[in-house]
Amino acid sequence: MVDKGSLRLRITGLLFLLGVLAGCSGIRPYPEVRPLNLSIRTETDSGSFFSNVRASVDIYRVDSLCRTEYQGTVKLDRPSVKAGIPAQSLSYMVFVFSSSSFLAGSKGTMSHGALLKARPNHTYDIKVSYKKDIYNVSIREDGGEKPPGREIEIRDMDSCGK
Amino acid sequence: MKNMFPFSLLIAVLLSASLSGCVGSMPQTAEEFRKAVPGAFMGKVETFEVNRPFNAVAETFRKKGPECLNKTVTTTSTTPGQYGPVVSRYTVAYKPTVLVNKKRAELHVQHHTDNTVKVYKEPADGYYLIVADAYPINKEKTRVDIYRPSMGHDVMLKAIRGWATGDNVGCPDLTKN
Repeated sequence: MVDKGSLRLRITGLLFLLGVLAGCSGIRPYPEVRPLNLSIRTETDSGSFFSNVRASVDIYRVDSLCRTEYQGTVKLDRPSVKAGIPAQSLSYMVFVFSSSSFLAGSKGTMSHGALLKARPNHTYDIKVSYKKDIYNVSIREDGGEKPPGREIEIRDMDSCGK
Repeated sequence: MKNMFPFSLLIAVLLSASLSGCVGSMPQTAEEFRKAVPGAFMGKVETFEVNRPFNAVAETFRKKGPECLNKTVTTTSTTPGQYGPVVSRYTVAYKPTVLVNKKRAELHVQHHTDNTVKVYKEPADGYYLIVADAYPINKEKTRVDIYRPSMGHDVMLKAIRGWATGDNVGCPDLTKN
């Protein structure tokens, strides 16, 4: 006969251990930053029943010397996700596509970085797609007071400070 | 026992061997690569026309080549071994180069793989893998020649064709290449 108190203690201990391990993994959820100026729409399709792909975006703060500081990760596990990045300062978003193939026993991760300096009173519509091994990231800035807005060129960290 | 050597790397190795077979050296420039591929056992020249102005094709190459192909990719695969799972890991660094003038837009893709034996001299930035050339036919049409391995690298080739046609300007998942 199992002692309920002992069982609860074991479950609590296990959950605590899992929490510690999750913290040690180095990945943490991106905190809520207001205003929510990013609207991220995601579509993924691995193209095969025997493989799958997951998308997420790691967000970094970038200082005047182009040094990055990890702020957190937003899982793109829903068709539409909102997040916020500080206006008037540079942020670096790394879109990560993690794919795995069950039959081949292989997995891989592709990253695609985008530097963005958000402007006050503007929102950004980000489309992320992964279909049959081809991925795409596009960023559109809304017009604010002057529609219709503009397409933002995707720039990697190499272009920081240039 | 399942062959664990990645298929695309195998094709690249076979192409390398066939390109160097007669002269004992690897193409060191894109032009040498263009000359070697037509006669190579594992090489192929693919030619097609697109209903797009040359300037548009060139601009897409200029924009998407560096954005999508300037990557270092590590792929991990696990296969059953005699005494347990065997994990293989390899890293490939891709280097795109785009050159555009009034007569031709060129996209070169080189690749360098870690932990492999280099039998022949490797060009700076890696062996040539693909060279795609776009030429204006008239104001609305462009011809594209792709010098490439006859097998493999389907994902990268699909992306390059998409850039030429304008139908799909996404980036290839190079872990599937």
